[in-house]
Amino acid sequence: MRIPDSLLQTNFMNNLYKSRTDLAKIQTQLATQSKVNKPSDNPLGNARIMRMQEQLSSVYTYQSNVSYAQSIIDDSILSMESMSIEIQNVQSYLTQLNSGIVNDDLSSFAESIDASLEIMLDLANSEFNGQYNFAGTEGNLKPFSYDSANNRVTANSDHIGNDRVVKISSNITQKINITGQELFQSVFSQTGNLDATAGVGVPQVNSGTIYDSTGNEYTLNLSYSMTADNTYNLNYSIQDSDGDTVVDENVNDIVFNSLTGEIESIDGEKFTNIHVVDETSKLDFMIELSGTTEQNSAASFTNNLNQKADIFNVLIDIRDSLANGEKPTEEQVEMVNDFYQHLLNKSSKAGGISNKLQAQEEILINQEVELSNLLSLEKDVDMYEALMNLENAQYYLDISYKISSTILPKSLVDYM
Amino acid sequence: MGINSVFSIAKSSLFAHQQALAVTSANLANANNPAYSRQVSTFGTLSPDNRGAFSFGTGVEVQDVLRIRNNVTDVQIRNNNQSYYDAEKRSTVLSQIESLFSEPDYGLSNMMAEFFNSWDELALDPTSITLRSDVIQSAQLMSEKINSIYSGITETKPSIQAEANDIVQNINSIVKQLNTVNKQIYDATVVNSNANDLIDTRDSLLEELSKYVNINVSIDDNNVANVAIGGVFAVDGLSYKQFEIIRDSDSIGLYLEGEDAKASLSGGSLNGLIDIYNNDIPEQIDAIDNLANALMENVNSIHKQGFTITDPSLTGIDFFTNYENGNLEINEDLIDDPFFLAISEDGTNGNNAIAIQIAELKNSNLLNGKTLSENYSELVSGIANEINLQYQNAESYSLVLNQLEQTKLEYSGVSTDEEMMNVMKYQRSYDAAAKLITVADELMETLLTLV
Repeated sequence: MRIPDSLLQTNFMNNLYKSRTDLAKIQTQLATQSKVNKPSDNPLGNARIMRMQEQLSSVYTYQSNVSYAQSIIDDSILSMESMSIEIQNVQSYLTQLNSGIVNDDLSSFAESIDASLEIMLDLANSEFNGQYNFAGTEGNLKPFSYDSANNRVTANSDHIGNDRVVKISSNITQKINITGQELFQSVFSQTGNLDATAGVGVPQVNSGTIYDSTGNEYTLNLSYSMTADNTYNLNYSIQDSDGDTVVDENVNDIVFNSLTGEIESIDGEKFTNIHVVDETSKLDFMIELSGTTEQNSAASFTNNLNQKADIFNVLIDIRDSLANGEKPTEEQVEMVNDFYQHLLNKSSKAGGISNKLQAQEEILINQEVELSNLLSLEKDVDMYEALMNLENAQYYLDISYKISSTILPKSLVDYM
Repeated sequence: MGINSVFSIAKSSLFAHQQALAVTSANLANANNPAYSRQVSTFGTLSPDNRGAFSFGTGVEVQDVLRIRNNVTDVQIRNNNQSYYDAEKRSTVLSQIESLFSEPDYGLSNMMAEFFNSWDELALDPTSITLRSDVIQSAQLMSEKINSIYSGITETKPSIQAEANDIVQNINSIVKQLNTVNKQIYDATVVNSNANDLIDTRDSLLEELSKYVNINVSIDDNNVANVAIGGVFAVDGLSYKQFEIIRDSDSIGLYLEGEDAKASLSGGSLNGLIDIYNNDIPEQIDAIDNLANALMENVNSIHKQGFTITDPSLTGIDFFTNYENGNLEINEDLIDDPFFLAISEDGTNGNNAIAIQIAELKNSNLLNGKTLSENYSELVSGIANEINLQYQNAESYSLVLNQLEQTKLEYSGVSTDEEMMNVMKYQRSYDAAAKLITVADELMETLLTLV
C-alpha cells in the first residue's frame, strides 16, 4: 500500500476533527448541565421531556389549587364549628326554658336568642379572601340578610346552592364548598321521572309535606302538564292543615333534553331550583328539581326534605314568641336540635372534603417528586460521567496531537 | 558503430534522466495540491542499431509521462459527494429551523401547558383580576411564540432562495470553466500532446460541481467531458448552458436560463435546499396553522358559551379573534378588561364551569385524533428525527467519502519518500551517464594520441 504524505495528513485531520467534535459535545453538556439541549440531541427523549414538563406544570397547578381549596374549606369548617357552639348555647337556653325553673323574664332569653341569631347570621356570611363561604357561586353577594320588612331572613341569590368546583388532578373535579342552600335552607327535592308519553295537557302530579318556621305542616302539590315535546308547565300550590291554599304559582317551560331526559332549562334559564317564599305563612324553602328526568314510563316521584325550615327564621320565631311571653313549642325545640344534627353532618362532610384534599396533596407531592426524578434522569447530565468522558476525550486529543507531531514532518528528506 | 555512439547513448541517458527529474520535481512541488495526480515517467529504448547478426542499443528515452489516476474512484467520489452534501445541507437548514422552537426548555409546549393551566387556576377564584390577567398573559406569550416560530420558518425561505441563487452562480461559473478546460484538452489531445494537468483541473471542477447537484459525466474519444445536470445538458467541448432558480407560486426549481427545461435534482446541496423549501417548510407551516386553528376554534367554541362578570353580563364572546399567517390574535376587549373573560356558565361570578372546560381541552383529542400538545410534539419530533437521520446519513457518507479520498490519495497522491528515492535513482543514472561521457572521452583521447 502506498502511503503518500497527504494521506497521513487527511487521516490525521479526520481523526482530529472527530476527537474535537466529541470534546465539544461533552463541553456543551457540562456547560448546560443538560443532555438534551435541542430536540435533535435525542428526539425520543425530547418528546418525553416535553410531556413530563407538561405534566409537572399541571401538577404544580393542581398543587396550588389544592392548597387554596384547602384554605377555603378549612375556613368554612371553622365557621361551622363556631355555629355549632352557638347552637349549643341556644339548646341550653331552650333546655332551661323547658325545665320549668324559668317562668318569668322571658325577655332576657329573647335577647340571648337574638344575640345567637346575629352571630349565626354573621357566621353564615363569613368571608374568605373576599368571597362569601356559603354563597355558592355568587361569591361576592352576601348570601343571607333580613328582607325589606326586616322581620325575615332570606337568601339574597338564587345561586347559593351552586357548588364551587376545581380540578385537583387531571381526572378529579372536587367540590370545595358547603353551599348556603344545603346548610341553611329547607330543600324539598323531587327525584324520579315524568312520563314523556302521557300526552299534551295531561296532568302528572306529585305531593309532599313541608313546614313553616314554627313547625306547622303544609301540603305541597306539584302538577306538571306537557305543552310540547319535552316541555312542561308546572303549577305548585301549598295547602295548610285546614286545607286553605296559601300559595298557588305557575312555572312555565321546563325543558328536558330529548336524549338524556335531564332538565335543560327552566323558563329559559339554566337554573333548576325554585325558591318559594311566603311572608304570611312564614314559608321559605327551595324546590329542587334537578333529580327529575323525563322517561317513556309512568310518572313516579320520590320526595325528600333536608330540614323543616331554615334556622334563622326558626330562631326569629322563637325570639318573637319569647318576647311575647310565650315559651318555644316542642316542634321549635326539635327543629333547633335537627339543625344541630344537620350542621354536624355538613361539618363532617366538609371535613371529608378537607381530608380528600389533604390526601390529594400527598399524591401530588409524590407525583411531583416522581416526575422530577424521571425528568432529571432524562435530561440532567451525570456530572461524574461527563467529567470522565471529558478527561478521556481530552486525553485522546492530546495523544493524537503528540503522535502526529512526531510522525507528520518525517520523510526521507530528513535523512539526506 | 563507433565510439561516437557511446557519446550519443550517454547523451540520451543524460536527457532522459533530466526529464525524469523534472517530472519528479513537479510531483514534489505539487505534493500538497489536492487536485494533483502524481505523474510517472516511463523509459523506453531507442531503436537499436542492427548490424549483421548483432543488434546494438542506441540509448534511452522518456516514452511517456503517465498520469496515475483511478477513474472508478472519481466516479464514486462524485456520487457520494451528491449524497453527502445533500444530507449535510438538510441537517444544517433543519437545525436552524429546529432552534426556532427552543424546545425542550423555552418552547411552545411549556407555554401551551401554562395557558391551559392558567384556566384551571382561574377556576379556583373566578373573580380574581390577577388570575384573569394571568390567563390573558399566558395566551399572549403563547401567541407570540407561535408567531415567532411561524415567522422564523417563513423567513428561512428567502434565505434559502438566496443561498440557492449563490449556488447556481457557482454552478454557472464551474460550467463555464469546464467548457474552457474541455476545449484546451481537446486542442492538446488532437495534437497528441500531454494534457495531464488540464485533466486534473477538470476532475477537480467536476468534483466541486457534484457537491451542489447530481451530474452525469461521460468522456468521449477526444477526452472531452460531456456533463448533464439533473438530466439537462450543461456542457461539452463545444458549448455550455447557464442555469437559474425560478420561483413558481410557492416552490422553486433549477431551470436552464431562459428555457423551460427543469433539472430533476436528486442529490447535492442544492437539492437539499430546494426540497426543504418545497416540501419540509410548507408541511411545518401547515402543522402550525392546523394547531393554531384547532386551538382557536376549540377555545372559542367553549368561551362563547360563557358569561362575563361585567355589568350587564355578556355572552357569545370570542377569546381569539383571528388566526392568519402565524398571527393568533387575542380579543382586544379581553386585554383591556379581563372581566370580559367569559368563564361563568350561568352569569354568576363564582361559576367557573367554562374555565374548567377550557382547561380540559389540554387532554382532549382536538386534532388528528390527538391532543394539541401531542400534535405539536409530533411536529418537533418529526423535525428532530429528520435532522438526526440526515446527520447520520451525512456522517456515513462522509466516512465513505473519506475512504474514497484515501483510496484516491493512495493511488494518485505524491509520496515524498518515493519521489526522493526517484531523485536519487535518476541522479545516480545521470552521474553514470556523465561518467560514461568521460570514459568515451578518454577512449577518444587514447585513440587520438595514437595518431
